[in-house]
Amino acid sequence: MTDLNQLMTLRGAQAAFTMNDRGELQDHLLSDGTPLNETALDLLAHMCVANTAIATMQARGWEANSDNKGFYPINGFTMIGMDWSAITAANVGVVVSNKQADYETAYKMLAELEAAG
Amino acid sequence: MWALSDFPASAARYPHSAVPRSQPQPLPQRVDGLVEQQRFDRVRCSQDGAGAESLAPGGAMANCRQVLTSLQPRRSAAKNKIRINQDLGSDNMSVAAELANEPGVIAAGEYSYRGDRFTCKGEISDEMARMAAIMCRATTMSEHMQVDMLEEHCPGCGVSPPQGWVVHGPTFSVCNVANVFCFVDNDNASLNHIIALMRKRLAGASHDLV
Repeated sequence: MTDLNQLMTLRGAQAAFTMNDRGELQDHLLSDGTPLNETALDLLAHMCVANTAIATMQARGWEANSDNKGFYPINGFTMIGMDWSAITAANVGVVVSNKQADYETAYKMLAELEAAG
Repeated sequence: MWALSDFPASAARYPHSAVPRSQPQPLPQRVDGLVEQQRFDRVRCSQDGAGAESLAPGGAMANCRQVLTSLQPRRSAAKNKIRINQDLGSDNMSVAAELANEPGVIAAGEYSYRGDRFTCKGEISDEMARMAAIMCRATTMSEHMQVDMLEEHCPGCGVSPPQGWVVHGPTFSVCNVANVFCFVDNDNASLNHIIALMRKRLAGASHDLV
């Protein structure tokens, strides 16, 4: 079981969520005052799964057509919105305020959660 | 900057990315001297700045001006182009060129939203730069579509307009803000710094042409 509370400790965290391989929202936490809601998170999760799949395909094709390795497999996808960013890896994601976003720490935490199962 | 139509094979494969056909215009010809310079700088730019209006302010044209300026003693034909680009570009180094000089950045480039121009600087071949520009543009356009849809579910929730995206690989990452992209070595670059720099420099980028 992914510990979403740990993700919510990230600076500026507005939401944390898990999704299945189709992008359907499985579990989520919302911070007080966030404009996000469950419906938005569900669509956001679908977006992240779709973009990760496309990026994975592109990375595969890129490496097949060149000597540039190190893009595949895709470990995470981040969508940078106007005020917040959605950072995802595998089936876990977190939404953080752009002003306080620490992308590197978020990716590390997501990787740890993924490894922990 | 090169036009995608400079690559005959790609023009056939990506007909949607070719020069718009509503009002046929002559394609810009490359300055011969640029071909030689490009081997060192890996910077592509058009001869006369055509299509500059579709790029971010102070972006590619400032980059082009740098190349053309360096060619001035050798290429008298480039003199007029320098003047044109000075009118269009800013005195600051372009965002892509600035990114390319950041530690850990492998390559950085810029593309036009309509898909007919790109510029790239860094350790990347011309063909791969072309492919990178096409992929980054496709992802950006898709993101805008997705965010428009998301906005319907949470009006005013702070997602629109989207600023960019990051694809995080095991060794390298691709960062894109507005119509500027860069390839980053995860071990030698600070992703936070790169994204912050791109967001700062491109904060005023227009999305009207998406």
